[in-house]
Amino acid sequence: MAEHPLLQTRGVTVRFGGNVAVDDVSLDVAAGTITGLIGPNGAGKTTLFNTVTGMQRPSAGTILLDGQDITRRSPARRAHLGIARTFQRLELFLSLSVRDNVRVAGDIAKARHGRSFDVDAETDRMLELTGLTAIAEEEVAAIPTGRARVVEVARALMTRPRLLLLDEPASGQTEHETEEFAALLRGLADTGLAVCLVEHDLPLVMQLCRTIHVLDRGRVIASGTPAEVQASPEVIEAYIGQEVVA
Amino acid sequence: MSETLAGALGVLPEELLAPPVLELVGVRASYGPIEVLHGVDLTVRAGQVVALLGPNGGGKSTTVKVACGLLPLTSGELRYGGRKVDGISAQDTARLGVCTIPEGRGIFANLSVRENLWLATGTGVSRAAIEEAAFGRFPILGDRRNQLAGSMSGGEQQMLALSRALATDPAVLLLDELSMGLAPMIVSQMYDTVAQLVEEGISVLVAEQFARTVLPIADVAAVMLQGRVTAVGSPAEIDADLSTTYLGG
Amino acid sequence: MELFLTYTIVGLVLGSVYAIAASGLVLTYTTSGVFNFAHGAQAMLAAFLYWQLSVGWGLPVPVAFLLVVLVLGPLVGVVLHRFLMHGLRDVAEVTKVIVTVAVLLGMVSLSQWVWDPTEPRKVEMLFGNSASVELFGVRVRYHEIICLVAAALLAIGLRLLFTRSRLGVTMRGVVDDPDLLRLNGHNPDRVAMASWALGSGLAAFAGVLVTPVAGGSLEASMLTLLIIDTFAAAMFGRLQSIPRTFVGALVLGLASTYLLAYAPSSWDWAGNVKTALPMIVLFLVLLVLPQDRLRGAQVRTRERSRVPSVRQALGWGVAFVAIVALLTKVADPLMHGSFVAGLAFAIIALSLVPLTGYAGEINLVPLSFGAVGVIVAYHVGIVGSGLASRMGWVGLLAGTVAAALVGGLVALPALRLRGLYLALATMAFGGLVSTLVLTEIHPRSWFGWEGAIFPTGTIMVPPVQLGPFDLDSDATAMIVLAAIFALLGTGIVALRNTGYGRRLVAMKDSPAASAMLGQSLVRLKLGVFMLSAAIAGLGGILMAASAGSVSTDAFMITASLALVMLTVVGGVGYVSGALFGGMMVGMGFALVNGTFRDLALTHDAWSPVLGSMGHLFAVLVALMGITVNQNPSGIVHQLCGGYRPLLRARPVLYVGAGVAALLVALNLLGVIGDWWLAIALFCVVALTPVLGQVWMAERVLPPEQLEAHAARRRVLPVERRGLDAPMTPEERYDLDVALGLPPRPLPSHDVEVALAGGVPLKEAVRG
Repeated sequence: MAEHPLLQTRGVTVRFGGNVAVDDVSLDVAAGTITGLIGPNGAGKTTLFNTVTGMQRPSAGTILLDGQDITRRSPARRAHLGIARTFQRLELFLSLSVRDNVRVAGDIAKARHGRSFDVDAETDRMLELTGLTAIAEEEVAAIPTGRARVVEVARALMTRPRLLLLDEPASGQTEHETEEFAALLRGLADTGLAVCLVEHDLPLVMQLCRTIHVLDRGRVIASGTPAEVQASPEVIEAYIGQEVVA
Repeated sequence: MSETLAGALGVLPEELLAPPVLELVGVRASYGPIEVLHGVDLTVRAGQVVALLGPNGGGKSTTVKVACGLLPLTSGELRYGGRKVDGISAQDTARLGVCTIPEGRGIFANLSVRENLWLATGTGVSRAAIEEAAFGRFPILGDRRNQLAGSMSGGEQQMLALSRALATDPAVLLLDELSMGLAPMIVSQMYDTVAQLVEEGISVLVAEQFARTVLPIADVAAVMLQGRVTAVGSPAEIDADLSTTYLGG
Repeated sequence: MELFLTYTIVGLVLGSVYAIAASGLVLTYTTSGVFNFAHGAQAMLAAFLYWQLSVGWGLPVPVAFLLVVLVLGPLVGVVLHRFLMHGLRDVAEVTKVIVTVAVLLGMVSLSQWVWDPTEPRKVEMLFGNSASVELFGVRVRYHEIICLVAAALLAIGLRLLFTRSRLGVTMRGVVDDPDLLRLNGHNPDRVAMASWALGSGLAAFAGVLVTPVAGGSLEASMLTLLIIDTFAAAMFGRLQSIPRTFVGALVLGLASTYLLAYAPSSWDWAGNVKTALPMIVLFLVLLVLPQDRLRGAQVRTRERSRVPSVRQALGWGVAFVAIVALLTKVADPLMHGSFVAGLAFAIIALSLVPLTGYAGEINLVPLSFGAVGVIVAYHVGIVGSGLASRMGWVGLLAGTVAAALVGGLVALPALRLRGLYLALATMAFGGLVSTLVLTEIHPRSWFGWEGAIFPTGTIMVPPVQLGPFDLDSDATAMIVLAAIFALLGTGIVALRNTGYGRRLVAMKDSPAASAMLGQSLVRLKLGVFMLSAAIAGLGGILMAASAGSVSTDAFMITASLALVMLTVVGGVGYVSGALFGGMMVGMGFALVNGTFRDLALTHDAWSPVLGSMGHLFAVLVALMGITVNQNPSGIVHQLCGGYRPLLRARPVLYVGAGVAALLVALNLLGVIGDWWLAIALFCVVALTPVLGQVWMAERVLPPEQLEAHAARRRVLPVERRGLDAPMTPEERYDLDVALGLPPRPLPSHDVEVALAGGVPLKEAVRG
């Protein structure tokens, strides 16, 4: 791995009451690659995302972005440093149109990108890039989930992030939409963006990611290339479950 | 319809099968404008354990939510013991003898163990009897009877949740991801308890992503993908294709 | 020492009453998610009912007491839950707040209608004011002992309820996880209803106990606000913990008593500080509350706002000013004054559009920020003297800026927290302004400045002069205020169309997503709150200046609440909603009362009925607020929605316009008065869309509604049922029952039948 690890988590642990949701997780996400984060329900993937974006304070451990400790930074501050995310349970701005959902991200980002950042032109470009131009004027509340996921991605991209965290972006997309989406992600990674992908569509993850981390009950149980992960007995066990010896 | 399940099973003609206790017929359901179940057919017969398998996002939890009345269905039918009960409320399902342990832990985190058990009982059942049954089955719960349920480990919480099934003497048990986040040892202990309940005549629908943990106690297995039941069969048949279903080969 | 004991007992008694009231408040909030702003009003109503029963109708005190506390109080709670709060679980915070505020206003209006406020009423202590015993050398009244014992018993009782009784444990279960409670066979709605009954009973209890403790005289607003003091106690427990609420209540009671008792006599303001203490404490508690977790959109709100373009807004603005200019020519000059007041209130209401309409945050006391503006403008902005004195632009500017700064200070502690806390902080600020600022009517020395903040309780504010525009004449004032309203309105619409406006809406829709994109929520909220306070400040100055003089009454919290409520009813997402709210407050009441007063003068026989019409109107207005949940986007939005399809049915519009023209003509001929004209025009505007739906339904109604109407018309006459169409199971069931046959089971009744017959599944399955 020659790439510079943009995001590093070191011993991140999150406890809720008596439960450990994330248990001593240390992993890297490199710039210019798509890194997969998979695991069964309740493995702690979304919680890990929440700690990286600052929605959740970890009980222990540190989070480094480009070598800088951001564990105690506010979510907004982390966004300024170049982290953007999408949400598993969509968090769109329901009173706004598709275009305005994307545009408002530019409005927020303009503060840090300065005067040269032309929000309207950038919005048009982003809608074009993500294939949303045709539905740009529609109420975001009225579009299908698959498209809504793309709106969230377009919105996140408007902040010109260095690290993009995607929480189940393909769920609700049609097969055709997923293909287009995969192409978009590859293109983004080629521009140097670090993408971290939580996704249950495993064929998609296998096809897109160079590195995959497998989480189970809060712990990283396997890391490696898709082929390595697919062959790992721990992974198969984590997903399909150990046979109960009655 | 039940015929389709019998047909799919190809084992026995309809008359010889036990009567259905829980049926979903062509059930569609949505969260807001988004439809997540696109016509689900599923039958649980008396004394059966039906395992509902499949990767995340396939609609297993939603199916359980419809079956227990937490989520109204938009079309199709829900039947208990052959009676149509569409639009039933979740509190009525419980009173009719359908006990549901929802995804996550089926416990009140800010209530003590005893108070949790207390809420599980219908009026007229003595608290002492319930506690005796639960603490007899899971002695650790007895040790922690006055502890807040939320402060216990995941396994203990799930024992407490299962104790509700013991307390209410249900006809049908609906389990959603019983094993989530639990160590294999604990999971196997949980399913032992479920197997014992089945011995006592309870029918079970269990939604479970860890297929292999539940297949040994299942009579019928169904696989859900993208809001539809894509396969129904004996546990052995379903087991053979698991790897493809989950990891996409 | 004895003195200390006496004060301690007095403080504990006050604390006990606070505790009784506050625990009821916390109870209903935790189990139903609705913070009951009307809790104080319920206590007040209970005190009046108690007076009516015991003094008015001479029932024995114990009977009256038990009837109010155990029957009527809980009954009010059940009714409130059944008809209002029940439907409020998944609605926006603003809607929840407004509904309970409307209940508060409704109850206050109702009490003033039933019990004429000009007539003094006294409530004695239980067992009489003089019945007392001596304890440790201190004289303690029986009533005070009852308060102490009641609070102690309540603390024990609640503890037992929550740990020993099934109902209490169920209540805690509802807080934890309502869905899981359902799956356990309990009905969360019923649990919430029980907690509303209990909470309202406690409000009633507190109301009956507090009146004699607070002096004994019954006064609706005072009693309502007294119980609002308990918000601070509830805040001690973070609106969750009842034990901590008790502690908070006792601390409050003791602190305020000691303050008054031990303050040096030269501190003549100590009494006011004592009154304001709960509000001060509320602010302090806000400062130490931990930050909320960042939340996503929990509620899929149903409010929808069409955003007009700036060009459209400008067009409407010009049209509005033109109409007002025309009105100055045709309307009775006597009406100008109330028109100006309406416009000034509309400007204050505009402050809510960016804050509540766009950003989803709540300010319950815009008039208090208006008061800040007025006071500052009064002290720095008056030029000239005597009749020639004017309020110059310096005063307007200074008042506006001061209101903005104060707004920032008020909002700052609450911004890290949920919207409800900001609403409570503003309420506390309103209380502070009323009790600490507006009471400063005598001169004193303020850090080198000599004078009174609000001299004599009524200050004379001269007319505004802006360059060539002298607002001394009402006609000019009308036009200028209309122009200011139109300009500000256009500006607010323009703001909504900028990146800033979009960021506000984004924050309202999903705080979590907004923060993840890099938005600092605190900064954004602070900015919009200051903007809002500034507009309210400006509006306040304009209101005071156009009225000529303004007394402390003008800034009462209840007036603020009415303005906020009516603006939300009108549609807080729209400039027109603000116009509606302002006009209703500034003009509506005057209009209605004026009309009925005139009528009462001319029709002697009917004067009692006509006289009470004003009260009826006030209650009806509150009812409008209660229905805001049915129509969260507001009346103006609904009205415009009603007119849009009329474009396809022009004859209806022509009829409407014709009737309106006829009314104006009649007015010009002197057949009907101005008040009648205004009311009739209002009816025409409201009824024209209805006419369209009845007369030209096929052009006006959407297809699905037409279909529904047609289906209703197709209902078969009874005698043809079963012949022209097969009988439905319901009809068959009815027929069976009517014929005395054992009814064949009804599919939808299966559940009921099954439930009535025990556990059928087990029988069906296990044989």
